[in-house]
Amino acid sequence: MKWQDQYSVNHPLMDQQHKQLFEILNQLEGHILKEEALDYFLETLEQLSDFAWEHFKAEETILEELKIEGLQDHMDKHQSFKKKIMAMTQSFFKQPDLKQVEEAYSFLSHWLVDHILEEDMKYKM
Amino acid sequence: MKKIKIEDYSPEWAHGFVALRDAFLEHLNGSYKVTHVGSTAIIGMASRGIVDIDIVVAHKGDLIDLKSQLTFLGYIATYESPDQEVVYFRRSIKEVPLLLEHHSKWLPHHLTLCLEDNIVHKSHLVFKDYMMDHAEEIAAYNELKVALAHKYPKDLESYQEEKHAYIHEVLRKQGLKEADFDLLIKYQYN
Repeated sequence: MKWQDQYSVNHPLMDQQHKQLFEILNQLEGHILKEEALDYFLETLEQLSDFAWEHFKAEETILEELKIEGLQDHMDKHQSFKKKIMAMTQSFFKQPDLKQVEEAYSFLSHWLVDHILEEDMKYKM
Repeated sequence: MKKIKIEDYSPEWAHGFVALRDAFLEHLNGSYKVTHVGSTAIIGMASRGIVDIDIVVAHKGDLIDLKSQLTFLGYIATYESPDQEVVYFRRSIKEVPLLLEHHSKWLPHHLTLCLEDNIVHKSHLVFKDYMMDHAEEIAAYNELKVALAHKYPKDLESYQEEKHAYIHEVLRKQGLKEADFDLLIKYQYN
């Protein structure tokens, strides 16, 4: 996943945090390519959920301050993302396999780009 | 493996337990009791800051039902005894129990779901009651934990093993028999 200028919301902190989310997913892709994803997947999900916690909280504060319409809808999308991470962790813990990791990578990378382009652009400065 | 860090007693642990207990009482249906056990439940005791919670039920049917409800809230059953009397849980992500509120952040905690007359829960209560009545033992146990954390800075298994020797000694003094310890081993008590 490569960061592109079109993903920028012109907010230094948000852009920096979005880039960090890209970085976490790139690390996961690296683990998949090196065939070591099974060893690192739970760690990656933990890292992702911890960082998403910080980022979503900061982002929602900004949305609130800017009085952006559709805040609740945006927050619901964040909550739904967290539930997905939760379900992935539960599922992988129960039965770890590479297919789950690859599907998760595909979902997460698409979700992140789609969410930035469709939702986060609403508060672009 | 993270370094084992022993923290001085903090009242925040009791507050953290109350917040979790209230969340369970609000979101879990059925007949059960939520009890704060382990080191964070004992005033003055140092610990790793992980709140241990027992959720106890009278019947296996309630246990099976609650297991499913806890999974829905985001917990992972890491061990379930074959006789379905004891289930240990960890959180999938740190926001678990994931409720409707946004950005909930709970204290780190471990859950044990078990039958109320199971030896695992009984031993938790025996140890807690004994330590709460013996302040001098708390100081000695704190010293032991700090020493073990220095001895095994990143080896949780060895740390736990030597700590358990102390706990078992207390339990033995309080009347637990060899058969009880055999059961604790069976339930992978830790």
